[in-house]
Amino acid sequence: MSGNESRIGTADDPRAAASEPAPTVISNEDFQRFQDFFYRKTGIIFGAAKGYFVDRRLADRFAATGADSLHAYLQHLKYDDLSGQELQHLINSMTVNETYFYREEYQFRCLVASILPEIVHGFPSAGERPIRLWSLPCSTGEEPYSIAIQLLENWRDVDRYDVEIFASDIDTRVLAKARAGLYDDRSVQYLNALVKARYFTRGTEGSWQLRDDLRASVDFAPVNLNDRLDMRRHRGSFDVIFCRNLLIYFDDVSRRQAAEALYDALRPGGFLCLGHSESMSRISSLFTVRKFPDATVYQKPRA
Amino acid sequence: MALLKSRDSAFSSSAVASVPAPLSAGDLLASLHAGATEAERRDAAADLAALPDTACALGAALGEEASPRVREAIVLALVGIGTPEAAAAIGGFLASEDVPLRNAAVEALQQMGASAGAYVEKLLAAPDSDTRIFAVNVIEALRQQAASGWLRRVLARDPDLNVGLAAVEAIVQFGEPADVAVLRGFAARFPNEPFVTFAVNMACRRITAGGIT
Repeated sequence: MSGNESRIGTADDPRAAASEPAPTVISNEDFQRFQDFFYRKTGIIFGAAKGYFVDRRLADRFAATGADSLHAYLQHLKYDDLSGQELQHLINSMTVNETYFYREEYQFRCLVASILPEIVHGFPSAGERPIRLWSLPCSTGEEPYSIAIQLLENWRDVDRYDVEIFASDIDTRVLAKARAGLYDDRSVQYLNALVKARYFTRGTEGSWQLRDDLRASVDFAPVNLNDRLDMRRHRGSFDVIFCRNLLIYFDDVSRRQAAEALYDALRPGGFLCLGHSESMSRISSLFTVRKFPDATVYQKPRA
Repeated sequence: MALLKSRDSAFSSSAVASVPAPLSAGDLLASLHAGATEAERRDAAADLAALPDTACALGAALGEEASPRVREAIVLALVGIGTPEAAAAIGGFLASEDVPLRNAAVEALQQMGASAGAYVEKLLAAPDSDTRIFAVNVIEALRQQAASGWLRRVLARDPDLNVGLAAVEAIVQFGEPADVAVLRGFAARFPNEPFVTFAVNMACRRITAGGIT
C-alpha cells in the first residue's frame, strides 16, 4: 500500500456530493449498522449526510463479492475474508486518496505553538543537538514540505535551532515525486499567494515547482513501518513524528505493532501526531495523551 | 535557514550495519528476565516473536513483568507467534486478579483468531464462571464459523446466568434467525429473571431485523 494520505469523502466535498445517486442499496437502519461496523474497524464515523457516498461505494463492494444485502456482505467479511483483502478494498473505496499542502494545518500550528517550545525548553543550549522531525507516510511530499514551510513562516525560533526533517514512505514511486517537488494547482490550493511566491516557481499549465533549497531540506527514504529491523535503525531518533491517516488501514494487531515501532522511534518526551480520525488511546496505552489548544497529540513518557 | 539535511542520516543504507546480530533464544530469554532497561526487555520480547518455541517462556515472563510497556511487547510477541501454545500462555491470565493483565489477555486472544478458538472453547468448561464469561467475550470477536455453535451450547447448557447473558450479547453479532429458538430456550431456563426475558427479546428483535451490529 502506498502511504497516500486519505480521508472520507465528505458532504462538503463536491466530488462526493454532486454526482451521487439516491441511495438504493441500504436502508437508514442498515446505514447506521454499517456505520457502527466501519467505526469499529477503522475508528472512522460517517456523518448522516454521507449516505449517498456510502451507498454508492457499498453497491460496488456488494457487486464485487456477490452479496445481495448488507447482512450477506458483513457475513462475507466475517467468515470468508480471513486475509482481510475485502476489508481493505472496502476501506480504500470509502476513502479519497489525496494529500495537499497544509492539510490538517491545525497540527502544524500545534507543532509551532506548543510542541517545539516544549522540546527546546529542555535543551541546555540552542546548539545542543538538532531537532528531528519525521513524516511518514509522506506520500508525494506535501506533508514534510508543509512542515518545513510552517517552521520557516511561523516559528520565531527557527533560526536558533537546527532542524532535520525526515520523510519516508513504503512506495518508492511517490518518493521520487516527492524529491522532484513538482505540484499542481490542487496541491497548493490552501497556500496563500505570498507563501506560494516565496517557495514555488510557477510553471506552465498550473504546475508549481518547489524551490531547490526547500527540496534539499527534507531527507526522503523508503521505510516500512511494519519492518521491525528497518524501524529499529531509527530507535530513539525523533522528537516529533507525524503519522497521519495510515493506521486506519491496519488491523488491530498491526496497529499495536505500529504503535510499538513509533514509540521506540521517539526520544523520551517525543510527540506523535496522528490523523484527526485516529486515536492512539484505542490502540495502545504506551503514550500519554496531550491536549494542546490546537490539537490532541500523544507523547512518549520521559522516563 | 536552519533547516538542515542530516549529515549522518539514520535513513542511509550504511546505518544498517548498526543493527546488532540476532541473539539466541537463550540469550533473549535471559535479557527478557534480567534486562536492565525496559528497552532491552522490550527488544528481547520483540525478537522472541520470531521463535515460536519460546511461547511458554514468554507467558512465564509476562506473569513476572511489572512494566506495562514491557508487558505490551510480550503480549504482542505472543499474538505474533499465534500458535495454540501461545494462546494457552496468554489464556492463563484470564483468571488473573490483575485487571489490566486480564484485559490484555482477553484482547490478545480476540486478536489471535483461529489458534485462540480451540483453546477458548475448552475454557467454556472452566469451573470458574468469570473465566467462562471472558471466554465468551473472546469468542464474540473471533472470526470462526464454529463460534456460533459454541455460543449456542453456552445458551443451552451453561448453568450460570451471567455467562448466558454474555452469550446473548455475543450471538447477536452472528445474527442467524435460527438462533431465536436457542435464545428462547435460554430464557425458558431462567423464568424468574425478568432481565433475561428483556435481553432475549431485544436480541431476537435485532436478529430477525436481519442485521449484524
